[in-house]
Amino acid sequence: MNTQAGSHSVPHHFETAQQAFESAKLGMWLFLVTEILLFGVLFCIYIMYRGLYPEMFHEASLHLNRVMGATNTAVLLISSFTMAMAVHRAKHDDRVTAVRMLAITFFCGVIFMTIKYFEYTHKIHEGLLPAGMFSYDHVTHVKMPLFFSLYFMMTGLHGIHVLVGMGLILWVMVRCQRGAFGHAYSTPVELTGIYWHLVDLIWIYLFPLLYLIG
Amino acid sequence: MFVSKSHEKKYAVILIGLLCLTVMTVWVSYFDFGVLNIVVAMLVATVKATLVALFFMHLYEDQRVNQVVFISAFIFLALLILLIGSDLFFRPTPQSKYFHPEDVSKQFVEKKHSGNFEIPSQLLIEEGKNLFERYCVAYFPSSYVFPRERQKIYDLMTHGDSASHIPSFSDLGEKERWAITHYLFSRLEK
Repeated sequence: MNTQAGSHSVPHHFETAQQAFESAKLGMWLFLVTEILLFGVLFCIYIMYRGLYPEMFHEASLHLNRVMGATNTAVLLISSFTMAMAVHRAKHDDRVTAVRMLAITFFCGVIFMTIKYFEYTHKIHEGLLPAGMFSYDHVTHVKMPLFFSLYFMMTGLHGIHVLVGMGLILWVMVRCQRGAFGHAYSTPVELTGIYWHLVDLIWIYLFPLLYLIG
Repeated sequence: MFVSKSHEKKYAVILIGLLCLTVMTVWVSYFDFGVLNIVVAMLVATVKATLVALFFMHLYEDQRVNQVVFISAFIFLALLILLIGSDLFFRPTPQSKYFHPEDVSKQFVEKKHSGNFEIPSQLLIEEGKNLFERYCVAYFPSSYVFPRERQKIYDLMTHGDSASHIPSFSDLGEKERWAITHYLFSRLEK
């Protein structure tokens, strides 16, 4: 085994390092399938209610800030790019650049959550909250609290995923710094990368569906 | 140390493409194309998602089994949405050709007798107060004169009053509208 790629040894129930990597990756893809179905149910609820109350969704989405939403989209896309770069560099033994790229990706996550924080505080201040807590004064449609229930459920669940992703990135960054990854072994960086891209992929759909209605 | 630059160039080109598509989808959203808006937005989102999955997630050069696993998620999601949607959106409504008024009036009569919402009770009045303050009060000018008959108040809740710009509250159920009616009537009596 190449010592340059750290002291990682292949678990005894695998024949080769390649087989161990492919098995881990298949496991990650299966996990992502469950993630898609988890978010998919929320998208399904969204589609049904939007079909029932199209005007309400239109009016309610005007309360969301498009510029903030678009900025967050750009931030996540850039972070996906830096993540892909980090994976590529880690695999080719360029530790310094890989750590730097992971740091940028983490920082993009911080920017995303900060913008989300400002959006949420604004909504809370206005009383645009899920049904039950909704206290906005100038309601124009009886069912408007429903939109904000969906908004907070979908972006909230997505936000939790961003936080988990940031934790994972921090973890692989520390390990990468210590020289754990190289061309022979880089499974954790690659799998964290795939997870982070899925978080981006879900936001790609959330953004137009919540912020850009009509 | 050898790092192939062609991969990284490809990532950069894809990032620029993704950012351009984002600008485009925001720009398009400022125009009103009716139904086409959502079609364009979803088409652009799908192109972006495909780019991310194929090249950033390396699905394009990945093993066939991983491709099949990932795509199967979307097939099952489509099934879920199709089945629920076909129930919800093709239920007989007065506008659809599958609608038979006699079936509904039968149901309606049964429901009406099982509920008895027309008979006022303290519970209904309290529920009506909550509902009215939550959903309706913003629409009524303070000088608004309510009809002095329960049935007429109920009709007002159902159909609205276009002369005073009061919308219909038929989104609320039959019980809720009767509850509001009883609350408003109890207010008139005072």
